Amino acid sequence: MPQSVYRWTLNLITAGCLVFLYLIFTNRDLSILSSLSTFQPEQWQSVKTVFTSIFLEALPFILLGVVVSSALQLFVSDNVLRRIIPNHPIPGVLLACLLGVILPVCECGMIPIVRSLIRKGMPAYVGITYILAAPILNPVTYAATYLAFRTQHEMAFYRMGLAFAVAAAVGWVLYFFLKQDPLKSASHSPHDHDHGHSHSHEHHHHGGNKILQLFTHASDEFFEMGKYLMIGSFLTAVIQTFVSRAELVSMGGGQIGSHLLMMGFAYVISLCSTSDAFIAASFSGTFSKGPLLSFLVLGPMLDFKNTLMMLAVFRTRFVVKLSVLIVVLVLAASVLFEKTVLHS
Amino acid sequence: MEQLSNLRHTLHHVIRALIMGGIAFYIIRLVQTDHLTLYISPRMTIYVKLAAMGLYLIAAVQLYEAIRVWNGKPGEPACDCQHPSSGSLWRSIGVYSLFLVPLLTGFATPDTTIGSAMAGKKGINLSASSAVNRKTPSAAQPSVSPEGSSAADHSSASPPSPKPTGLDALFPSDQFSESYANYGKKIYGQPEIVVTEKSYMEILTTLDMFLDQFVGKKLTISGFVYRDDTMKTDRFVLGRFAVQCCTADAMPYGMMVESADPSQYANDTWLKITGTLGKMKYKGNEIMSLKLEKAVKIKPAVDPYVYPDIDFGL
Repeated sequence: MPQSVYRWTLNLITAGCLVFLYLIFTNRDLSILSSLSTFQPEQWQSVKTVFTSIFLEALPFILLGVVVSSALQLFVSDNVLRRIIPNHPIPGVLLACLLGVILPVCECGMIPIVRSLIRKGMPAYVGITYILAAPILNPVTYAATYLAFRTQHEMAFYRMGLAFAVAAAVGWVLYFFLKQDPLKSASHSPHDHDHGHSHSHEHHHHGGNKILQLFTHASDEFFEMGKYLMIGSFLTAVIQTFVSRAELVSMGGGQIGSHLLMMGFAYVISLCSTSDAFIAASFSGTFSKGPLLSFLVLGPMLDFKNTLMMLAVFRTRFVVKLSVLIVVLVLAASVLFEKTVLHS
Repeated sequence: MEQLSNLRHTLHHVIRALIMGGIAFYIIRLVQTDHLTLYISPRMTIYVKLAAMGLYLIAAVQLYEAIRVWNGKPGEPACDCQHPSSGSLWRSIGVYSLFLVPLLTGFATPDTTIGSAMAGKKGINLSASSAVNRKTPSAAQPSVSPEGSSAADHSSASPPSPKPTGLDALFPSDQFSESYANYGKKIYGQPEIVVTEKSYMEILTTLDMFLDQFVGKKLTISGFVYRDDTMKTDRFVLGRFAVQCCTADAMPYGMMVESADPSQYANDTWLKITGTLGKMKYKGNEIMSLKLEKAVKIKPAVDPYVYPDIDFGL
């Protein structure tokens, strides 16, 4: 039990830190808290509306994710998977980057699937690359970006290219530096069995109805991921309702500043990768292409909602390191890109 | 001990079945009251409906499991994937209330739409074409990428064509703004322009893109009233939220309205306004505006949001 308490406090502290970071960056002292207390009922209705809409939009993808992940666990043997996935890091990472073209699952559904794949023996760096690349490098997101930037179609190519570069770079960095299993161990309470997952499925599904097991398994995972979706959607809704976009924009000063600002914005609003291009396009009067690309590449890879969901599956330290790595690489890639390609 | 563990298992299954069934029922109720589009754009609703069916199915299996466990059959497959019973009582209560509280709130409170308060936070878009077309260099400069220029050669409106005359001169276009230019030519001759619900954003974009051609025209538009401190007292904005996927990505689009007596129209009032198109300076940008001639209070639209018009320009 103390372990679970520890985990929850940790998550709460993380959330609290994020809020305070925000407060510090906006120089708002605690005025936002006082604005929370003097709330108007319409604003809480907006919170409810936005919360419900985010939840409903994510729901189909999460369900698909947990059902596919359960099916993978029950029906695909480890050997099959090992044979399919290349062992060498170069084809492995490249394949993971492009897998999204065939298997476009939105980021919410991806995390349980990748966990199953990693448990089945997929190298973790390949799995993470897939999580990062697939929400952007797929036909649906490409079409949405193309549509959103009607007069700047090159943005869609740039977005795909940068996302590919960043995801592949993260994959290779992880290949060299990730020595530990990034997954949370499945057994966290004393009465759980301590055998590894990989062989546990070979023997115990004696008879029984596999379809029933599939559903039970899916429901377990649904509740496991769903609680993070609930918290994430709620906080996102609160941020969207109480934080003014104009104030946010006015904070971005300098070149790096505007990149960081758009990245921070992408992180907090936690939109799906299919609709964020339209939001980015609405900023094209305010920001140049570089910061917009930062927004478009970072958002699907890393946002508030999906950080919480990653914490459900991966070790906290790993999630923190991965997030820092993504932020640094996205910033470096888009600043570099802006200096070289966009300014030539 | 065995008994107690069975009871706990059964309870877990029952509660889960109730929550999942509850979410599914909530969705079905939204569909029946036609309120689902208050949260999700019409093209996404099919997925949400499928999800509701999936949830019902999983909930049914959970109930079945509950009965099996209650009857003393070994319910759970003996695997080490998260047992529902692992973890303390309080933890379980915490997790389930995370689902139950929003669900009950959803059932207990009426479905509302986002309005002018949200528009203020999101920042209303008064120059619709800025999202599509940055008026500054990008329209003039050909294209940077080789792909772009080769594509431009294929399209009908290639730059080195003979000097355009008549309407073509009034509505110059490249391949990207072509559909707007065509629409502009179509409505240019009309005595009165109506901003329809179906292509709300597209029409506003056309007007904004070729504003000089439309100044002085009569225009009818409907939407909700929004104003903030940055606007002069004789002005307000009439707008709608445009939704791509879900309400979370809604962007307010609107038209600045000038009126002699705007105070009679409170925020969030729905109006249908007819007036004359003009332009004005706002926050340093030139935007389109409407001089109010006639305003009628109307009921809020059944579906308060507008969506991208996929048929536009076809």
